[in-house]
Amino acid sequence: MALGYLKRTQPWVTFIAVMGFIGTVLMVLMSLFMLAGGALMPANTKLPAMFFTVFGILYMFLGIFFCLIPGILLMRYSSAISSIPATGQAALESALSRQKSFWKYAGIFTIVILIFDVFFLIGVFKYGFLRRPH
Amino acid sequence: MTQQLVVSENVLSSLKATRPWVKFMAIVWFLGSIFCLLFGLAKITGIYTGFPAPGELALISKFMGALYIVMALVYVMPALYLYRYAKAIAGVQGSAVVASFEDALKQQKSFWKYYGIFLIILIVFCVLIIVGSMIFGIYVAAHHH
Repeated sequence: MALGYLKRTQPWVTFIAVMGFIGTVLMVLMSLFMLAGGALMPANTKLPAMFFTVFGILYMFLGIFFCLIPGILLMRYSSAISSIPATGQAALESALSRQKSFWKYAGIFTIVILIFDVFFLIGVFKYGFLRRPH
Repeated sequence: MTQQLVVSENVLSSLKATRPWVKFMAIVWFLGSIFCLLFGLAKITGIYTGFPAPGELALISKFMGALYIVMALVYVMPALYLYRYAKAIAGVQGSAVVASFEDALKQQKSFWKYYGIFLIILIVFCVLIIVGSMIFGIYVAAHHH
């Protein structure tokens, strides 16, 4: 029964990992476009070139930390599940250890994002309201 | 090749190390769901519209409110699966080891299945929006004059 549940988990985990890899490619491409846009932008436009550079870095950050690393961790989990029928107990232990690594990463990443959110909100309240036109 | 799988010390230690992170993620998703629900209700009832003047774009605000409530419902399910997963891990001890272990694997399977289906629906929506926008753009351009 336990093996059955893991076998039914495997295609979904593989699918989500593949989506993560596709997401990485799209994010990195978007980032490169943004960075190129920022570098090639004429200085006298209304929109500052810095805007593109910041978003370019943000897309690169999301591509690596939100798509690529979780994708790799999930693919490792999926491949360990695949080898359970052949390898047995050792593969089961490896699979559960790898899914633990994924959840640990997801938790730490979420904490980092929440801390960023708090700083962002403080920034919005502090500077957004101060600069509000009367 | 069929082998006997057992809930070994290594299996137990991995599951125990997984539990706090899964529980934490479940709490974050529950909170996200509650925020979406409150925000959606505030927009539907008109307490908060997000627009400068009262009554301005009221219908759009109500529609967005409904979307937030749908999002709250979508988010609550994975939170529930993760919470059940964490709870089942806590029960992997004593005489209930095998049953709780199987329940834990079942709950995490349900989570990944739900997440995968959610992702497929999201991708289909994105494709429909892109194709719809293109058709709309071509239509507007063709009937502009």
